[in-house]
Amino acid sequence: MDDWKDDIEKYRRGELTPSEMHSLEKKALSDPFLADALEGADTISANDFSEDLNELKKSIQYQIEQKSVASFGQAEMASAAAPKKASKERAIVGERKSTNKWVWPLRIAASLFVILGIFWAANQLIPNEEKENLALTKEVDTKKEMPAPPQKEPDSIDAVRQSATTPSSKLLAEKPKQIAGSKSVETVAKGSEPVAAEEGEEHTALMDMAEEKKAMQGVREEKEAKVTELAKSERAASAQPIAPMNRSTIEMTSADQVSKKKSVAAQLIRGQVLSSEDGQPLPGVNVVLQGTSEGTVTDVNGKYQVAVEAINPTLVFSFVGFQAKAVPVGNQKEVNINLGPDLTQLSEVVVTGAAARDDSQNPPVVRLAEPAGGRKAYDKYLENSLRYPVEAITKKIKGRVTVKFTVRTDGVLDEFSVVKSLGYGCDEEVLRLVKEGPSWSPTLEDNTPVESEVLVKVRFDPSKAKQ
Amino acid sequence: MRGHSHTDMELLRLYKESGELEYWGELYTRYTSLVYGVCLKYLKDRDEAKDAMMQLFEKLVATLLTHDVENFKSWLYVTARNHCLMQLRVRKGKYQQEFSPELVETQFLLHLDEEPEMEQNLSKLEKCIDQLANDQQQCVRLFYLQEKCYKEIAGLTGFDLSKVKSYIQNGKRNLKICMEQNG
Repeated sequence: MDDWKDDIEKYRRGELTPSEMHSLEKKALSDPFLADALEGADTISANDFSEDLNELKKSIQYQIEQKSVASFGQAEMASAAAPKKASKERAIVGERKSTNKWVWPLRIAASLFVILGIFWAANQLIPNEEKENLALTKEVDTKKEMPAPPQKEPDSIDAVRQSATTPSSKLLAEKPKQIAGSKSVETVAKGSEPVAAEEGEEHTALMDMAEEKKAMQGVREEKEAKVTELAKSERAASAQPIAPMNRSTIEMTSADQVSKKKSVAAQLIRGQVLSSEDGQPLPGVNVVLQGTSEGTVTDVNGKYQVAVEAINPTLVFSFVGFQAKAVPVGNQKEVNINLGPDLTQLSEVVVTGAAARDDSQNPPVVRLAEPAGGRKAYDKYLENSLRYPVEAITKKIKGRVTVKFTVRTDGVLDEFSVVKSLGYGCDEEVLRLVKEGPSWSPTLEDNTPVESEVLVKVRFDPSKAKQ
Repeated sequence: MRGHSHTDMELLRLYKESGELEYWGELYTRYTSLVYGVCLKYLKDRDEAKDAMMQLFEKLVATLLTHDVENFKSWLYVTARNHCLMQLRVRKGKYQQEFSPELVETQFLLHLDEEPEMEQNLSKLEKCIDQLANDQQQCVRLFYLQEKCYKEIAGLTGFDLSKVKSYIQNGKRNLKICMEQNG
């Protein structure tokens, strides 16, 4: 009954008997896959179609051979690092009884991610940056899963480093300091920064590496750089002492300057945002100057252009379903980054483009609608206030609800609709959360309030339901 | 199954268990013409369709290891179509909607199953067929009752091939509506 799989080609070439043709056509009427395929095949000549099919089959074969080789290489590399890390993690997990259930799925997802990335690297001949990115992403996950005591950290970082093809010099002796640094960053970031997600600062470190390899010497220094970054943007005195310890990058120096004088030389930054998953440009990514709500969104080619008035700006890139990244710009004119999918988010809030906007050369400065207390707080609110519907728990309903609403120019929420429904009371629960939740300020376009649509997505997972 | 030693589901299971790309490659290759056809339909460009095809291959290498797929064919169709639509959306600058395979899959399956039962009641349809517009009626009769292929029908009726196709599709839809109304 699956014979038709290869028959599209024959059908197109007229090699089927009328009755075979009839049965294929009949099948297509109740099989949209086949119908679409036939329709598509119809758009080119039979010869072209056959030719392309052959070419594709060869490409697939080629990919398989290539990848088998690549994945062996990767397996060896990973096995060098993995056991050490795994045992470490188990040890820590044991210590911390309250460890959540995310650890394993995340670890698996992270590894897959790395493997996928290596495939890409092998095939697309992406330079080393990519691999570093991915290796570091792993580090990020690891670190997030277990905010271990500082003395534990060096090992996990060490392990990851082994798998990373970092061309940097490792200054092991410096590590404890570095860890201390990143710890304080976390505290600072959680305190008041709405845009820099917890993973944000880690990502910044890895972006630094990808983008400013020349200026940077290695992971360690990027961490330091990031510390300085945050110290600057948060103006947190506590983090400052860490910065001078390792002042070897441009970031360092300029960050230091910032603390002394606040200049307002407008700097035009442009670049492109790609998905690290498939290398596709990401349109509609929010590009926001850290510490402010000013910024822009990327165009259909993932490109953006933003004018910032700060000496050492950090741009925060965020996009639905992707991990946000904060990238210190330094004195770069161009910042190109990759965003990886977010595997950890429970809920997310998306503000999409404001009402009618012309695509003229100068996009307005947009300040997106924001809930009182900031996005981060809003996410927390959603997570903490969620009352998992009883029926959904008992029936083990799992999935995501997306609701859409409009933020009016006066901040009133209106036009609620359920974009993605889950039923069993989940939709109503999300609507309730939004309606009863923090108030919103409208999107501002060049300081003029405009209406905008907001999507709020909440993931329901019975295994994580709060009792 | 012609010449295939494994069913789709077996290949899928083997791939999941072993992670060997051979299995996935074999499975995907089976669907080359279908997936490529779909890509062509949506992207309308040979090169882009080929790219999309290979991107999907890459993408699913990982997805399939984590994702439980119950009906591979439906799933592949939805995934391939979504992939193409995503690209089109990117082109047009519309990007709000997120792609979520789990949900679409189930909807799609329902859609797939509802169709065939109608064809078992062909005799019951007679009354409805009579009510169809002439062109549709002629084509539907030739196609369903005399089992002619599109090309033959085009030859017999003198209609354009694309007309034949749409008469049959519309005729079928009208029949369904008629059936539902008359019980």
